[in-house]
Amino acid sequence: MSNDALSTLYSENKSWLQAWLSKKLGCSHHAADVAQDAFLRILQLQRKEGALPSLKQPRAYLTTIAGRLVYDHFRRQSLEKAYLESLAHLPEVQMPSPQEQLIVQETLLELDSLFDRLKPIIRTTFLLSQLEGLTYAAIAEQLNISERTVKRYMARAFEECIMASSL
Amino acid sequence: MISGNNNTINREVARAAAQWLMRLHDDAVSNEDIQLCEQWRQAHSDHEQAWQRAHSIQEKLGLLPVSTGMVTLNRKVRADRRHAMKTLAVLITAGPASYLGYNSSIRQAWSADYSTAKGELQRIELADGSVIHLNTNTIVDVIFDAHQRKLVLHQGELLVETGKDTLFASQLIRPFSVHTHQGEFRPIGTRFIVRNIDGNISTDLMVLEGKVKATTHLHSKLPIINAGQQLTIYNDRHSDIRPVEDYADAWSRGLLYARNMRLDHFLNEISRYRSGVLRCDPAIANLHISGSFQLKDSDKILQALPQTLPISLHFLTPYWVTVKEKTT
Repeated sequence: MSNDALSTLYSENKSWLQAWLSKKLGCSHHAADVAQDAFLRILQLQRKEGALPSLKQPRAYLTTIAGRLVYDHFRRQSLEKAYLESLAHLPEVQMPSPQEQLIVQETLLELDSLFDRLKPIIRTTFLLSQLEGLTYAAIAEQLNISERTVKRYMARAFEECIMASSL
Repeated sequence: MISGNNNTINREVARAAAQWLMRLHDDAVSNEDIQLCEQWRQAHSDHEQAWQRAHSIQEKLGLLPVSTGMVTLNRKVRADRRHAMKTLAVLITAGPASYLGYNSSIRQAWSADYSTAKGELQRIELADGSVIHLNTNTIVDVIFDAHQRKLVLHQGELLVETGKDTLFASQLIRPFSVHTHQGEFRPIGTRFIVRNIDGNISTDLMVLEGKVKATTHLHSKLPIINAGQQLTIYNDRHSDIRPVEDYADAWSRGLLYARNMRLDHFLNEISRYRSGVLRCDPAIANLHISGSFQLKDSDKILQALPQTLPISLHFLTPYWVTVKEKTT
């Protein structure tokens, strides 16, 4: 896809995509932002790959990319909510300083997008081991799976983390 | 694209690294595996790069408080608009402070008066002249008013040395009590320890001097516990009375005394004072250790162990330490 093709894609589908996003997000301001992000994302992909595949169904392509952004938006929102709730359970004297909170939030955002790639059961297995320090036998018992499965999940989780992360 | 680029990692290499990582985090990892893994990492820079990527993720996990990490990263993501908007509306209309305030159990935690982090010890003099010592990872509420002197232990370990109530000395005696999830403890001129370190499953009471009257929340009848006696209370039952171990209060002086203590018990005790994971290879769990140890530096305690015991330490990360048999 050339730059021309991209600008055609943009001018022909921008309003349609915004309307589609409005319905998903329930907010037209957000929809305009996310639509911009979607086209930016396509521009980035184009730069990285040199060119985009020719599109027989440009709108299906757009909704795939925009759908991912919508999902990320909600995921981030639910992460923020979960984080606030976890703070609420701390006594005041244990409240982290604003600076500590910032570090934790940034770390959470980064790890969350990483772990989002894992199936829930694999993610739970990995966190029980790496965060709570449970042995494989204890995890197997808690999740009612075999120890062999725990090991398979652990290897899988490490593999995905290595592939998805950059130093 | 040139191979060896910083951002590309071969899937096969990642898979091999993942296998090693899985094996090394097993508590049954062998010394042979540890050495073979070391060799694998050194065999090629790509191997080491894959390893370092996993390592950096583990370090980031180590930055998170365990409770925060679990409830946030392991939450169910509900990517539908109605759910998200409902939450958002609560946050906007009520504001964060009132949002946090509506749950009464949450409000209780917010009002906690004293707490210690992992590895921290604190001595506090209360308004009535009583002294409390907080062991590592402890949360206590102190509620003193005209009618009562009440401590609520939410988690951790508390040593109490009750003083004479000077405020109303002549006319009134305000009863002194310690409350936990399992019960209530009323001392009779005394020094005692209340401990809740298993996530509210049970409470240990150890009486060092004087006597303590214990009542469970189920109001089952308990005898008065005398000096030198201890007892564990669960939600639905309680243990037999048994003698208090020597030096049960040594932590209040910053010390851990071990007399012929099993190594796995010892490491369990040490792990209360540090963040992260401390594993003991079952093969060496029944070695025994004696001595007195300064609790303020648990790294130092660990590093001294190989000098007296046939063991070796493996720091997989600063937050993940495995204690194993000495390599020959």
